[in-house]
Amino acid sequence: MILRAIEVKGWRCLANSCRLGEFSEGLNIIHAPNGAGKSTLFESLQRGLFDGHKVTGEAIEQMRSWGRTLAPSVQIEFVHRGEEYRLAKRFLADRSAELFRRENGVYVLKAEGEGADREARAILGGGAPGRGAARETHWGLAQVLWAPQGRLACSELPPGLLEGIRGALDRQATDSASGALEAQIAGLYLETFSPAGRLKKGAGAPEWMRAAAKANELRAQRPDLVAQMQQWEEASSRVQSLRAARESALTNDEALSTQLAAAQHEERRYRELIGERKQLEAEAAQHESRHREQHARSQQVLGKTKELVIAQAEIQRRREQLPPLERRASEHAETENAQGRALSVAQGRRARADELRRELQQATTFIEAQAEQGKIDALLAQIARDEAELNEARRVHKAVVAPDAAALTAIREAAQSEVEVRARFEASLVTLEIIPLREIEIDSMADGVTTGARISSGERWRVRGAGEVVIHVPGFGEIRARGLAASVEQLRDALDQAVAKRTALTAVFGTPVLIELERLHDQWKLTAAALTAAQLRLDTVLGGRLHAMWQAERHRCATAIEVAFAAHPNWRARMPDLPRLQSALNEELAASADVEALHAKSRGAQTELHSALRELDRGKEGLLNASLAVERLTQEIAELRNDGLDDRERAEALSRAALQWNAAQSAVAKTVQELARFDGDPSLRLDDLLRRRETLQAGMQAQLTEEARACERLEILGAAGPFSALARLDEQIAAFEETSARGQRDAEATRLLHETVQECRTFALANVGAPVEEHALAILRQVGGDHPVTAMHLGEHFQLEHVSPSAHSGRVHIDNLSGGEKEQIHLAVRLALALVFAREERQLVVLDDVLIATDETRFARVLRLLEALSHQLQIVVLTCHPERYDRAAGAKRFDLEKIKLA
Amino acid sequence: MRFLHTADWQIGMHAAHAGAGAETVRQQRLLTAREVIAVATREGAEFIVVAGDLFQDNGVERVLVQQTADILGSFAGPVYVIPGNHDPLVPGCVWEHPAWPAHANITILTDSAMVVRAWGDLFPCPVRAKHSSADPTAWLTPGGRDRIRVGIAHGTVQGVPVDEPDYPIARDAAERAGLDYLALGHWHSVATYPNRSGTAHMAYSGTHETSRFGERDSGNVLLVELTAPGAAPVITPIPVGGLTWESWNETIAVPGDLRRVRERIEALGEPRRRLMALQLDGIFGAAEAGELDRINQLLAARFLSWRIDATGLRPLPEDDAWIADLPIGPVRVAAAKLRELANAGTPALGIESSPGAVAAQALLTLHRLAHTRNSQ
Repeated sequence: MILRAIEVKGWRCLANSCRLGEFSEGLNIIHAPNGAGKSTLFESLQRGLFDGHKVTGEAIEQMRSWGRTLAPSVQIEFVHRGEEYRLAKRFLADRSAELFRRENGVYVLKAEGEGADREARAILGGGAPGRGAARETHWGLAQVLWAPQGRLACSELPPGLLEGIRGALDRQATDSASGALEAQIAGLYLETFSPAGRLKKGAGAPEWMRAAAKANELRAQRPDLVAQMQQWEEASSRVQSLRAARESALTNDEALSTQLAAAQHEERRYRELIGERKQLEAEAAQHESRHREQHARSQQVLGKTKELVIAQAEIQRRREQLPPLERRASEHAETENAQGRALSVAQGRRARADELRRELQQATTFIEAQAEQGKIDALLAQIARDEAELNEARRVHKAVVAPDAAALTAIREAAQSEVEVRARFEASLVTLEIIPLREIEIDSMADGVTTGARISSGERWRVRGAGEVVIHVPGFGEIRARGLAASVEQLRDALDQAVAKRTALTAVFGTPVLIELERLHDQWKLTAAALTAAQLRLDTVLGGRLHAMWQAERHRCATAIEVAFAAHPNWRARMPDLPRLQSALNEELAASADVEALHAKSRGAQTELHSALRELDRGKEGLLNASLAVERLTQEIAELRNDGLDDRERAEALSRAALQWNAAQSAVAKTVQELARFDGDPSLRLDDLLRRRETLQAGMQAQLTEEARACERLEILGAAGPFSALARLDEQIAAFEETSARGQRDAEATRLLHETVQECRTFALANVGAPVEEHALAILRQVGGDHPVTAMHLGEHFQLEHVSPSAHSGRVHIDNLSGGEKEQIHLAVRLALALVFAREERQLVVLDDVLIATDETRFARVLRLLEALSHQLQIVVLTCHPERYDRAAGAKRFDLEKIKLA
Repeated sequence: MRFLHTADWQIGMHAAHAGAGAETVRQQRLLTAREVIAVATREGAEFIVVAGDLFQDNGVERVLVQQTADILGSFAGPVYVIPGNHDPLVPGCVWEHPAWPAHANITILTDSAMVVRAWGDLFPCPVRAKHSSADPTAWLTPGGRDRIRVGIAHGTVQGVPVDEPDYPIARDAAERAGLDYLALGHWHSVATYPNRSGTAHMAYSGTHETSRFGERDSGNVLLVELTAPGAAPVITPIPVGGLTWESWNETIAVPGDLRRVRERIEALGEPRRRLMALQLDGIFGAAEAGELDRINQLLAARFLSWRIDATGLRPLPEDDAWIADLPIGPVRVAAAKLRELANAGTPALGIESSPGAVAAQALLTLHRLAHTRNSQ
C-alpha cells in the first residue's frame, strides 16, 4: 500500500479540514511542534483503515475535536496492487464509510458501510475487532510497518500475520516450478496416503493394498487348510500306529496261544496226577485201616486178658477184707446205743429245767404287772381330777371379756387424746354468761339454735356456741359474743374423730369407761393365773406323758395279767410261789449239767459207727465191681476172638496188612513227588492265560473297529486333496503378496520422497526468519558501523529477544542494551520485515517520532538508510524535530502547522 | 535290454514361487509326464522305472493320482514305481488309490524284496516315511552274476551336501549290492556316480520337469541300456522338460548395461514358456531409469512368470545433473538428500525395505516425475 493523501476533519486538534498530500512514494517528513496533531494524523490513518465506521466507545468519543460536537472524519487516498482507492469514513455522527476505486480517472464507489470497512481492512490484512476500537493486533501488516510513538519494538504478532510473513519469505525463497513439482509429489502421495499420513483404506485404497488385504484374507483361510493337512497326516499316523498295534497284537496272540496249549497240557497232567494221588491215598487208607484193625484186635485181646487176671485177683482180695470190717461195724453200733441212752436221760432233765425257768419268769412278770396296774389306776384318778379343775379354770377365764394390756394402752391413749381435743374445742367456743339481778326471760341463739329461757335473779346462765352467740333480753337488748368460727369447726371434727376412735376400741368390752375397763383387765389377769396353775398341776401328774399313754400302760399290765391267768388259771386263786419255783429249777439244772458232754460222746460214737459202715460198704462194692469186670472181660475176650482165626493166624494177617499199607504209601509219595514239580496249580496259570487271551482278542476286535473308522476318516480327508488345496492357496497368497510387496515398495518410496520434500520445506520454513535476521543485521551495521551486535535472534513469532554482542560469546537479552541501541535494533527489525513485504509490493512505513534516543551520528546514518530504503518503501516520518531531517534531500516535507492554517 | 529311468515328477507340486504361472507350472508336469511316455515308447524302452516322488505329497487331490496312473498306464510295457519320501508308503497314501490296480502294467513296489522278471531281477527300495537316516539300500546283498540286477532307490547319495542325513545311500551302493544299475531318485538334477573304473552303475535321472529357479540339469529322463549282467550300462539323458526357468543376476556397471540386459531379454525365444527371475545390482544413471521401466514392461508382457529385484541398484553418485536441473526449493534439496541416503552403505540385496533401496526407488520416482514434467 502506498499512501497518496490524507484529509482529516473534526479530529481532536484537527477541527478544521486538514489535507496532506500528495505523498511521495519515497521518504516523507511530516513535521510540527508538539501537540500540533502529528499523532492525531497517524491515529486517523489507522482508525480510518481498521476501525468500523459504527464503532463506539470512550476511545472513539475522545476523537472529537475538543469542545466541539463535530463528527470526526477521515479521507485516505492510496494505491494498492496498482489500483487507486479513496476511503472516506465518518464516525460518531452521521456515520458512514465509502470505498472508491479510481476508474478512468474518476473515483467510483466500490463499497460502502460495513462492506467498505471490511475491504479497507483487507488491504493490509487487518482483522476485525470483536467489540470497540481496533487494537494494534488488528492492523495486519501495519503492525509491522507502522511504529507508533514510543513503541518502536514490534508487539506480539497475531498468527495470521506470522503466516503472512512466513508465506512471503517462503515465496521469495522458492522457485515456482518447485511448487508445481511438490504438488505432483503430494498428489502421488495422496493417491496412497491420507493427508494425515495413514494408508488409505476402503474404496480409495491403492491396488496393492487391496492385494495385501486379499492376501490377508486368504492367509486367514490357511490355518484351516493346514489343519486339514495335519488332520490328514495325523489320521495317517493313527492308521499306521493302529496297524502296527494290530500286528503286534497278532504276534502277542500267537505267543499267547502257544503258551495256552502248553498250559492246557500241564493242567491236564496235573489233574491226572491229582486223581491218581487221591486213588492211591484211598487205597493206602484202606490198607492202613485194615492194618490198624488187625493190630487193634490183637492188642485188645492181649489187653483184655491182662485186665481179666487183675480183676480176678481183686475179687479174691475183696473177699478176704470183708469179715474184719463187719466186726468193727458191730462194735461201734453197740457203743453208739449206750451213749444215746445216757444222753436221752440228761436231755429230759434239761427240758424240765427249761419249763421251770419259763414259769418262774411268767410268775415274776405277773406279780409285777399287778403291782404296776394298781399304781396306774391311782394316777389315772388323779389325772381325771386335775383335768376337771383345768377345764373349770379355762371356762371361768373364757367368760371374762376384758382388754389385754395392748388394747388397754390403746384405749388409754385414745381417751387421753379425746380429753385433749375436747378441752381445745371447749376453749374455742364463744361463751356468754349472764347473771341477772332480777328474773328475766331471755332468748339465746347459738350454733343457729334459738333457745328461750327464764333466768332467776343471781342465777348464772351461760350460752356457748361456735362463731357467735346471742342473748336477747327483751326490754334490754341483745348481747352478742363472737369468736373464730373456722377453728371451732376443725376442732369439732377432731373431737368427733377422737370420740369415734375411743368408741371403736371399747365397743367390744361393753363399756367405754376406762376405770371399768381397767377392772375387767385385772379380773382377766386373775383367771388367767388360775388357769395356768391348773395346767401346771395336770402336767406334773402326767409326768411328761400323755393321758392316753398312761391308759395304754395300764392296758399292757392288764393284758400281761390276763395272759398269766390263761397259762396258770390257778394263779387267780393263789398267787404263784416264786421261791419254790426257783428251788425246783435249781434242782433240775444240777441234774442236767453234763448233757453237753454226753451229747459229744454220742456224736463221736455215731461218727465211728458211720465210718465202719462206710468201709464195709466199700468192701462189698469193690467185690461186686470186680466180679462184674471179670464177667465183662470174659465176654469181650470171647467176642474179640470170634474172627475165625487163631492167635498165630491173626499175627500173620497183621504182618500182611502192614506190608500192603507200606506199598500203598510209597505209591502215594511217588505221585506227590511228581506233583511237586508243578509251581502251584497250573489251572490258575491256564485261567490267567485264558483271560489274557480273551482281553487281547477283545482289544484286537476294538482295534479293528477303530482301525476301520480311522481308515474311513483317512480316506475322507485324503479325498479332499488337502495338500493341493493348501498349495493353491499358498500360490494365490504369494501372487497377492508379490503385488502387495511391489506396491508397498513403491508406496514406501513415495512416502520417503514426500516426507523428505516436506522435511526440507519445514526446514526452510523453520529458518524463514534467517533472511530477516540477516537483513536486520545489515541494516543495523549501516546504522552503527562497527556496531557491537554481531547477530540477532528472532523468536518463532519474529520477536526480537536476544542479540549476540561482539564482546560476548553468548546471547544477551535485548533489555540489557542501551535505549539508543534498542531503538536502532528495533528499527532495523521493522525495516527488515518491511523489506520482506516490499518484495511483493511497495509498502508504507510510518515512523511516529521513534528515534528519540539515538545520537546525532547514528541518526545521520539512519537518515541515509531511510533514504536508501525509500527506493523500496514509502516512508512517512512524523517528527517535531524537522531540522534532524534537513540532510534528507530527497524527502518530501509537510509542515502540518502551515497546512492547518491554510 | 533298455529301459527308461525317471523320478521326482512331484505331481501336484506347490508352485507359489512361480508367481502367476503356478497353475501352468503344475499342469506342465503332467504334460511332460506324457512326453516321458512318448520318449520311452520312441526309444523302445522295455519298461520304465520311477525312483520315487512321483507325487509332491500324499495329500494331493485324487484326480491327479488318477491322471498320473492313466499316463503311466498308457505305456505299453511294465512300469515299476517305488514310493519316495514325498509320497511314502503310509496309510492313506497315493498308492492305496484304486487307479493303480486298474492298470495291469503298473507295479507299485511296496516291499524291499527281489522281484524276478524275465530280463533279470529287480531290487526295489521303497520309502515308508518322509524322513529317515536309514540307508534304504541296506537290505541289498550281492547275488549271482548270471542275471541282470537293477535296483530302484530314493535317497541322498553320500557326498551331496545336506543338513541332516536323509535316506543316505552309499556312493558305492550299486557295487556293494552287485547291481548292474541302481536307479536313483530324490535330487532333481541328472547325476551319475562312476566307480573306480570309471563306469557309472548308479544315477539320478533328476526331475522330468524343472521345478524351481536355479535348478540345474533338470527336465530330463535317462535311457539305460544293459547288454549283459556285469556289463557297463549305457546311460543317455534325454531332455523332456517343457518350461525354462531363467534366473539372471546382472550387475550394472556402466551406462548401457541396462540396455544390454533389456536387449537380451527381448531376444529370448518362446517367452511364454519361460519363467524369469531377474536380479539387478550395481549403479545406474538416472537417464537409464527408462530402461528399467522397459524391462519391467517386457517381462510383464511376455513371460509366463517373472520377478525382478532391483533393490541392489543405486544411483550413480556423480549423476547430479538432473538434480541440478530441478527447480530451486525443497524438491531439489530433497533429491540431494535422497541420493545421499541411497548411496549410504552397501546395498542390501533382496532387502527391499532397506533405507538405501527405498531411497533409490524414491529417487527414481522423483526422476520420473521431473522427467515427465520436463517432457510436457
